[in-house]
Amino acid sequence: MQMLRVRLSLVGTLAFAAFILSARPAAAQIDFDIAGFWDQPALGTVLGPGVAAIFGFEEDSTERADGPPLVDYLGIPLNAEGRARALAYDGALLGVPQHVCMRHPSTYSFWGPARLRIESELDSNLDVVAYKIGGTFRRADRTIWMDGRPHPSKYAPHTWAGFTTGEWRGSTLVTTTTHIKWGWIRRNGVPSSDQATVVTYYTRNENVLTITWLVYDPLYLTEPYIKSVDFIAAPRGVTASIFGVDPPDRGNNLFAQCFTREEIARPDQHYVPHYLEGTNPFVGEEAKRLRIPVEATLGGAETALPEYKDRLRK
Amino acid sequence: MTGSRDQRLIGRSWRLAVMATLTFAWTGTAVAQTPAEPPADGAIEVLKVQGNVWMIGGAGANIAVQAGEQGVIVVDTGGDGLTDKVMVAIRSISERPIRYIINTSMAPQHVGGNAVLATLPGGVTTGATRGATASVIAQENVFTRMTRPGPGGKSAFPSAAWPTDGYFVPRRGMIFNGEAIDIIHMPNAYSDGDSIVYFRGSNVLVSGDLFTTTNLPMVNRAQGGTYAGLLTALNAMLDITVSDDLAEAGTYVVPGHGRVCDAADLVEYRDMVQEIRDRVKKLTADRKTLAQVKAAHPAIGWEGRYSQPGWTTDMFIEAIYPEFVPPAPARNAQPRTNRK
Repeated sequence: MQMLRVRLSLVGTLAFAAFILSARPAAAQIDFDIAGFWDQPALGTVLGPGVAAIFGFEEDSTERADGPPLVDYLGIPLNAEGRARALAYDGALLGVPQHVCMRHPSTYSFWGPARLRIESELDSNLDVVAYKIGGTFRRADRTIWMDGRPHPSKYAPHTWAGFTTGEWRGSTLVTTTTHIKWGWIRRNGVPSSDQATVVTYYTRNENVLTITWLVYDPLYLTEPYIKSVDFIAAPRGVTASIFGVDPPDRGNNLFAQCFTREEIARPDQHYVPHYLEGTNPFVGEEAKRLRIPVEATLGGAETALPEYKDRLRK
Repeated sequence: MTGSRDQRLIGRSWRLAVMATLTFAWTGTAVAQTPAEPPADGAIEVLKVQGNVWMIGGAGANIAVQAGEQGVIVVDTGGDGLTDKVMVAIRSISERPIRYIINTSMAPQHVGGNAVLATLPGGVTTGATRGATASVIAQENVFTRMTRPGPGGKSAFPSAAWPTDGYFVPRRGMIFNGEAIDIIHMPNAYSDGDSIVYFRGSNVLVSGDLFTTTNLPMVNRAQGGTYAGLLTALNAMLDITVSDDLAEAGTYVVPGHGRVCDAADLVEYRDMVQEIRDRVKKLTADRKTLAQVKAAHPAIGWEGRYSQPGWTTDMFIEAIYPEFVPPAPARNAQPRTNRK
């Protein structure tokens, strides 16, 4: 009898919740919002009374600073074509003037240096038409269209940010990004193609915004690559200025402006640095540091799974 | 009717591609591969690119249109059999008369609409019975090749499609609708008659088949194309383009096929062409045979994206391989001696 009462109570609660949700207009179902300032958390960052961050900056510190080790593709479901391109990557490419100012694309940008300012654009009924996210490295500002518009034609230009549409599913904002330029999913040469689609989940839990994204790239990945990062609310908002979100006179806008210039001595004006097959000198470097087989650092879907670790031990 | 004709044309080009492949497989030797452009899907779309320039996609090769008070310039005319749709598309941009047609090469999907568009009375797409027709500008080798007799002694192209205004200098300039326009010859790239067209005021570059977002690099050796020339052309185009802040927008590029691009897209393509060049160069320097070069997959990283039935990775490698093979030592060459 006691059990039955509990069940009935549960059913009633669920029914009531469903009624409340269904009775509200679609636009008002948003119990959460992502607008505001968001910072990358560091160890000890105060999240609330008596709660300090023990995650965040340390986990992704290499991505948010100088970048990840070369030839470390562990956990990335690369196929043969993706691995070949990654191994051909020479970091000197970043010194080629045409590459110097490239922005971090939407396949990667939340993982790299980022302090977000998210704004909502409202219509005359105060419904959200779009969210605008600025503050990723070199500002491939992302607009998330919430008004149901279609994605552009196949002839439309691709951009570093791509074209994004979104919808709320419960308390999670789910977005789909297409029309992204050729770029990378990790800042050590792991490529992404212009056919990639990124599905991103923005979930807010009090002061923490968790952004999870899946890169679907039929050209280079055998399955979606999944990554998540956390941001913490930064109500003062001043942190966004270093990425040029604020007007130039209010902060250092080095990351928002870029002027191409020669940074390396090149044999000729149009030289493109890259490694031929079998000549990448960094293969094995990270494996040695981590004391794992080289094979593991070359990636592949299986390297993301716990069983892979067991297999290596055998 | 148009649709069935399109299908026949597409079917014919596919059959030719398959026959070429089978011929190669049978003989086991390298034949001069001719790129078959991606077939037109016939779903015409008009996109404003920038300034006074639009792009018409879906008619075979991309068509660029510059329009203003003086009239219309059309760069390339699409594939044969789609011109009715192309005219509707041009009319949606401007009803002013077509004054000039510029052909970036003589590839079939670039000149297929010449015969109709170049003979419109008054150059107008809205229907007229008299008036001057449009001039067709192209590098002189396009004219030479289009007028050359084919099987049966006749040109493969009707005379109405031939260029009427050939140029033979490295660069030809003109001003139309108040905009300076450069027509620049890119020697021995896709073919020996390639032109790129740069609309200076609109800051839009039209590349022809020297750059696409759909194919491995296309080199038509039978018409004087070379891989080295293609790479030189891509670098020359990069020297013209200027990105806006942070490697995006700025100069837009209308490629021969595919989407509207900017300099960063062109950089990505140039990098690919150069990387493949270096790989094939190394393999041929190591005296690898054609079969060995193919087996080494020098285009890996882009094969899945760009290999198409009409221009497969194998066809591409067969086309460029001879260019990289070091010359064999002369058979009767004797070592030098100091005879006295």
